[in-house]
Amino acid sequence: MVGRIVLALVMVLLVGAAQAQPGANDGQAVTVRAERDIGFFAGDLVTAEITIATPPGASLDRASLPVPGPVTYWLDLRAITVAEHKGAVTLRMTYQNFYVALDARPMEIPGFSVRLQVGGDARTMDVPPWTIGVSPLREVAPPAKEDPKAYLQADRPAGLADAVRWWAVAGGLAGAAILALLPLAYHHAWGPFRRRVDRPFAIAIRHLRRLEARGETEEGYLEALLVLHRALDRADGRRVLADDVQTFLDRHSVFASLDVPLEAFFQASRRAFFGSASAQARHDLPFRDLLVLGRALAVAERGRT
Amino acid sequence: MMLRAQLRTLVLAAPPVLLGLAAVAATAWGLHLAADNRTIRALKANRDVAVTADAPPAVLLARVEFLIRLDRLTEAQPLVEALDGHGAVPIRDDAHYNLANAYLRRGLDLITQGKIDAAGPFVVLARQEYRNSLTLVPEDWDAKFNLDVASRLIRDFPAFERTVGDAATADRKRLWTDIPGTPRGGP
Repeated sequence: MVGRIVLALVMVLLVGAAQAQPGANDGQAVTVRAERDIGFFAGDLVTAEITIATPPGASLDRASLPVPGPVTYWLDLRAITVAEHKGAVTLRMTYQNFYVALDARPMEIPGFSVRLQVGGDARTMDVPPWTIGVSPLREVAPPAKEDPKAYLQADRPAGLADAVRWWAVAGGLAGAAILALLPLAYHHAWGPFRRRVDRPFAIAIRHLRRLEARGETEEGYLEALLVLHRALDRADGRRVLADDVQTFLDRHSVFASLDVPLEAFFQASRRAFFGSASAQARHDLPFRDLLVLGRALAVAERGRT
Repeated sequence: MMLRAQLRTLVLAAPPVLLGLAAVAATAWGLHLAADNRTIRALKANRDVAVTADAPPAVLLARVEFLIRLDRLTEAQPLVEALDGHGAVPIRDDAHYNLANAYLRRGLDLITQGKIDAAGPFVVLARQEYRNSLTLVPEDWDAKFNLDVASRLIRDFPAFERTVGDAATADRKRLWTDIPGTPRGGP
């Protein structure tokens, strides 16, 4: 029914347009399809799809399209999108109605014309005006009120920003960070995992750091050597002596790159404990180097699967 | 081997570090919002806290509300316009709507006092602000309703009339009557 009315309207207006501008449109059809054409209040969006049949080889001159903005005092054009198909151009128009109606009445949305480029010459296509039915929002005579301000809808109070939610988000993220810290702590034998049995060098390096903090002494140096010896023993599961270094490295390939410093360590250890030349040993392999070796061993043991 | 150990450490260290940074950022944002909320509460308690035009939108809206409550509409208007520059749509809508209500209330007060001429500009301003509000949120029913109230006080007048349709046919009829030799009347 609505379609038939629109069609009839289009036909009437096409005839009108043809009279006003002979030769325009060349009998090609322009159809306006509205989502609905009644019941618009002030502020409502009015959408319509305008299909313009185009002759072969014609293209739309986009500069001739209406520009979004006010159309009449009661109507704004908010958006226009163009889709070009074979043989037709579809314009999707979004208007906004600002007519405040006292009674239901038809209002005419003005037509416009667009230019088509056909070969070298321009051809004008007229989009006919079409009508929408606007409706009143309130009764004509509302019940009398003492204060006219009582007719108004109330102000909307300004709200507070939702800070509490962000506290919750921060708390959740902090909790997740702590949970994510657990695998790292396990890997490094930190905190609750400090006694992890397969991280002997991580435990040893903590001991060495304590010794370092106490200041370098002869006893401290000897104790550091012992600490590293015990860590090596625990890493291998048996006592490792100077002659066993090569077999130890063969069994534990993660430490393979540390063969030279390990040899130096065993030499210094032999000199200190069996040669009673700990001063010489401290000169050859100072405490600092023991720390470096311990740290390298701790890093390497984390590479073990 | 050493490299693999270091890579493994890196992979294990990345999640807690990133989550920790995110937690710090969320805390900072929460603190920022809490500071905003203190300003908003002060404004709601009618304390005249100075707010610059580039303040956070929620604070600007509270300031506009405060100025409206004190009937300082000339100060509220520029803040509403500043809000248009950087506010979210619902907040901008509320600001325009509240300002429109304030204008309309003043217009109604003037009408009640019998100062019809003085009321006119305020009603027009109110209508303009309701229209801004509806442009932002077409389904703002409060704004539609109050625009209806305002429009019954002063109606829109067309700035220009289009000259196609009925007007054009009327002209054509007048032309016809002037052309000599047109058959008219009976035999």
